[in-house]
Amino acid sequence: MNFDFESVFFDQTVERTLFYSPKIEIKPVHLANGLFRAICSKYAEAQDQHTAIYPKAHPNSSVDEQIRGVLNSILSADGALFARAQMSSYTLSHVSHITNDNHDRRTGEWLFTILTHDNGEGQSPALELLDRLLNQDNRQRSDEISTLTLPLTKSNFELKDARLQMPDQHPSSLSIDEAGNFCDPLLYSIRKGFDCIAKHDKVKGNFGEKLDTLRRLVIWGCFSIYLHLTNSGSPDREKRVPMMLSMVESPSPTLRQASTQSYLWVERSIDKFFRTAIHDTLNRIAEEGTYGSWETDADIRQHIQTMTWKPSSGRMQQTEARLAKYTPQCLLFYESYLSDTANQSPRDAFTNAAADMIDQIVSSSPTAVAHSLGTRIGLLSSGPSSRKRYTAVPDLLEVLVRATIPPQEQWTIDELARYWAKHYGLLFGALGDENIRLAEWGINVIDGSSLLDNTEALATILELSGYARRYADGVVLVSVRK
Amino acid sequence: MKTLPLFEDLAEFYNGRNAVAERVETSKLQYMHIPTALDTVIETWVTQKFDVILTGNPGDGKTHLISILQGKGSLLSAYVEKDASQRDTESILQVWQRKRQENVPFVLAINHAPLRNLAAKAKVYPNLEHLVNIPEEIDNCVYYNTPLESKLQRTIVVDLSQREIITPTIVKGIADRLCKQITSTRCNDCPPRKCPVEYNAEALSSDKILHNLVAILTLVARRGFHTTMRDLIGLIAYILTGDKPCAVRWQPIKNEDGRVPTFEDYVYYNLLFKGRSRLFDAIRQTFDPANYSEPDSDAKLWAGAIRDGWLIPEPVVIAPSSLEELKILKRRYFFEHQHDTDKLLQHTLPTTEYEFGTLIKGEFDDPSQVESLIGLINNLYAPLPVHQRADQNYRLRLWNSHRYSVGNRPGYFAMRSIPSDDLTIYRPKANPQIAQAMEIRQDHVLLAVQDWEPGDPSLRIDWPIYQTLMSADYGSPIEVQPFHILRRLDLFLRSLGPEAGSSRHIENIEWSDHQHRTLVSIRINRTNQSYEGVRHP
Repeated sequence: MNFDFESVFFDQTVERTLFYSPKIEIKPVHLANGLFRAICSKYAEAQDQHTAIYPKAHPNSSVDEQIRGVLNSILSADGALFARAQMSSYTLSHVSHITNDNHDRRTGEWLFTILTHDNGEGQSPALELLDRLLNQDNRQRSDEISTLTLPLTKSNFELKDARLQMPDQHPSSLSIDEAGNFCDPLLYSIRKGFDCIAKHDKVKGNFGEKLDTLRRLVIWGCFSIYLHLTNSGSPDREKRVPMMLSMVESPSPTLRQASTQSYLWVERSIDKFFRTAIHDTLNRIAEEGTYGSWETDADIRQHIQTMTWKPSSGRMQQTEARLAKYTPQCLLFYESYLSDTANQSPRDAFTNAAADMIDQIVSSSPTAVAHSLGTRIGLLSSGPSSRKRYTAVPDLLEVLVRATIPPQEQWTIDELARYWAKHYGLLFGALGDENIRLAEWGINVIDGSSLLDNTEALATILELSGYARRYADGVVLVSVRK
Repeated sequence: MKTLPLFEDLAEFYNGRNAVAERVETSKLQYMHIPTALDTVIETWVTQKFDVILTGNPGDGKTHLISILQGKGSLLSAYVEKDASQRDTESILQVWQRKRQENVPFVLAINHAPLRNLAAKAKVYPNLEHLVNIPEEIDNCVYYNTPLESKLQRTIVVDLSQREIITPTIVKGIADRLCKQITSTRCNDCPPRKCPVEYNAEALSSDKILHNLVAILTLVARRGFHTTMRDLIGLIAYILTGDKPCAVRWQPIKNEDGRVPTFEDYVYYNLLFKGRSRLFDAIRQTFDPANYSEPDSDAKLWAGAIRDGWLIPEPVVIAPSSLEELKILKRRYFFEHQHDTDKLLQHTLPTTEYEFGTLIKGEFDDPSQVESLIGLINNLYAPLPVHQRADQNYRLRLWNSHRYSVGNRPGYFAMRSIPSDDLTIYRPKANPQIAQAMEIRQDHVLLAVQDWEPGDPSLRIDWPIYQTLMSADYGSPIEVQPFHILRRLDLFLRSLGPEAGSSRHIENIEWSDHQHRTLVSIRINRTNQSYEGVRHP
């Protein structure tokens, strides 16, 4: 039986574990499209709309050229507009903008499952809010984008049912215990964030704040995926991989180094997750015997020599020359794990070699997916991976605060720091024990004055954004004011 | 020479021991006290059995004021808590509750954060439950449209952080007290008639020179800097003495290659731009006459042609031989020459700074100022050549933008707008209860809906936001403007949404491509689902 490496070791592994598939770059707008599609259970077949907004591929349209130019600028603001509607994700604000584009890699449906989970308090209020905002009728459309596209959906337009792919037996990332609770407490941190943002924004949306609400929920969704991937390989579900925020403009060397070191844990965590998952997959297929034996060195060498590395069809097909390199590369990895130095059993050696091969085979490695998503929401600084650091931009900080502090409550900055550390692993210096926490992950010490400056910088951004009030005696109170 | 203890006294006011009321002997405290209406008003409140809370930032003079009133015996009938910030909240509340029952007025000085803490805990104390309204009452010390009724029972909150210290009376009061110490004895260390401390004291005894000093400090205050009493006393102490006794004044300056200091090094108009404190930093950042040009007087000063009109004729003015000397002369001219300071500032200050001043002072009619502000806001989001700014001043567009990734916005759109007539300007005023007691800082105005009440849409037009709007008007693109200013504007524009009405049969959407400075207007018929037209302004 033909053995397809990517299909078995990546796609099937992901299907059983994460459910969403981090193998192609996911932009926030992709996630928005996927999440909104899952919530509305619809997507639009609107060829006239797509023709009008994409003059490059469709020079002829009945719509005025200037209007087309404006539409294109607005709906392609996130750079995910292509010749075919079903490959595009618009900078959307209405159900009529949702496409069947699968570039969200099922992250939308994964988040949707968390939002629909009823733990005794019903579904997330974010569902009702988003459903209402996205389904405003022609008279109600309150934002400029959906009003501007209103004439494009007069004819040749149909809303189609979206097919959800979540199996009845949830993947391990969404597993539920006997009491009906998520096994992974991180999912509650994610869900709580959605609920909190929705509570703040529940009465808004009719007059200009709709777009802000959509943006906040999508940024939170992206942060949630990043958070989940970051903690996917964490050995302790109660403990978060640290994210040391570097908020000052010119961080000290110790702060910069610690922030970069904490970022490097993302790669380690994801790598650990995939090694474990591939190990489980290999054991399963070995037990099932579908592809023959995986016991001896000869068996495994035989598999490596004969396996197909990527599916033979699909848009992301690779060249023959590139495919030809995979077999010797895999053998090289395998042999190195089998060598006297590593001294692993043939199956363990293959597990590790397969995990190393994943990054070569998929379009973007899972780490690269996390990296690009984190950068696009302003959690990570731009620049090469080796110099990345965590630095939340004001828009993201706003979302984090709104996802954390419930309406009508006022927290001290210390309380905020404790919550962020516990639920997200975010550190910025207000706790006083950051160095102890970082030391557990082998991260270097940050000097005390840098931590103070960092806290000060974060408090200043919150203050300037209207989320914090600073008192002369050093107390900073954070709240979401109406 | 001033006696050493006297110099030390003065120096201690500058960043030293005398700057903190808790550490100073009562005699010195009383000597430095500048009586204001606040003293009398507090005495009256106590007589009328009101509880009085003095709050504010450290250095605002809470403890100082209470100590003075205690010294005068004005608070004998009250229970006084001079430094409540250092005391346990529960014990303060217990005493307060007891004093309430005994009908003894309670007077306390307390910083903001512990006061909020105290308010939160007060709800479980019978008769003191009303104190939970303290945070609201702090905000209500200043009102804009109509004053709000107090929810406190026989309790008055005075937030000293809102008090304007930079008034001619206070500045003159402090200068007089400090100068008096100097003019009462003669210096034996400096050459005859060459003691800079005596010179400075003589200068700061002049009303005209003090007026010019207040003019600069007012510019600093207008930019939003909160000067505390401690800052102000420290500043005047420093510009009098240069933080150096005359006995060592003329020794070579160590960090300047052993240069022997000159008289000009210690003269107040130079020291004003040399000191070390938040206030000195703010002065340097705001206005130094040496750095701004006034073509007429500058040319004459450079030529040594201004011989008359000097308030202090010595030393005789001669033509400067270098740019450095001209700068010093410009400072002296600003402070010591007979001229109309307001007019001089009008010629000297950058337009933005001067116009902000006219807005704060309300020198033009408010409807015109509203239109001007609306024009500036529209122009930030939709920068257009001047000839295309047809109705930019008359309708405030509710600009918005949208993208899910971070990064520069592709452009801004607006479907709703507010006519300028729906907006007005409010200026901060002191709550009637405390209006007699103090002047309120005037460093902003409120651009808000008509009949504004707290919670209604409003935009605080302060120096940072005004500066941003003006810089956009001069051509700075929106991408380079500070995020927090854009966020404040965003919040204001969003909050105006409900004021702009609901959906219309025909909608007009404006799209500003700010990078190319173009504006497109598209009309959409909701009922027919059609485009009704497109036009450029």
